[in-house]
Amino acid sequence: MKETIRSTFCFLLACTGIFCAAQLLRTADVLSFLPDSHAEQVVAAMGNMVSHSLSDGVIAVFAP
Amino acid sequence: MTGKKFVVRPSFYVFWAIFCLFDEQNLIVLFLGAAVIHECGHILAIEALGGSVERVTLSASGAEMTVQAGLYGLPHCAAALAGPAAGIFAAIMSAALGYSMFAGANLLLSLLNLIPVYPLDGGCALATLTELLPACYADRTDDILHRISFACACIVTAAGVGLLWYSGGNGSVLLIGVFLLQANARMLLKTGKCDMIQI
Repeated sequence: MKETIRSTFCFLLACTGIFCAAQLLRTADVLSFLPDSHAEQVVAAMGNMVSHSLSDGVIAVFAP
Repeated sequence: MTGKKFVVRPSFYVFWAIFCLFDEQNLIVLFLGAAVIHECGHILAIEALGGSVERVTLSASGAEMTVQAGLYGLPHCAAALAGPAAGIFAAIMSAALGYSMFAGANLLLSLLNLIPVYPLDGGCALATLTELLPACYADRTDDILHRISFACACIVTAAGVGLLWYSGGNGSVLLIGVFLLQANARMLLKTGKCDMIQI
């Protein structure tokens, strides 16, 4: 159990460290050469698809 | 039970670092939440179906669970599909609450995992069906499933090449395709035949 807690703590620490390092590099404009992935557009489109399907479903169920 | 229950392979940190470097909008937080919901879906289903998660191993390919008490047939299939089901449920709930980006992350992760290719959940669920067949049909079915899995990996890779060319630099899908291809090739080299059953 102790081993599991220790490895989980190390894992969280390492992930936070890598995340912070990437944020620092971005703030320092070192990563500007990387291409834009447009991933947020894909995620937003998927999210809107679920929202619209949901609202259409609610309208279909409750519409007179 | 003794020993580590939570193991992280170095490849996970490499994957995490690449994701952090390319992620300009901090989508990683959304995908991390979606991945936790996905894995919790698996764990809850395994425990509910009488299995026991002995170990969770994180690597670049995601989370691999070692189940202590074996699940066979339909319970195994249900445990494999519980992750995507939890993700789709979370997507619907978060869309209803107005968090459309989180809904998108959950839906994207769930749909990706439902592709019938080893080692994703869709491929594992499909492979569990061989456990329901008589032994004489199992080898032939394994062979067919391996072909389906390899074909899907090729399609994902081709889509990745198309996206890379179309977007002018987005290699994320290509990376997933290459990973799937190498996973299928390694499985074939390791076992000499299809052994897709895992969660």
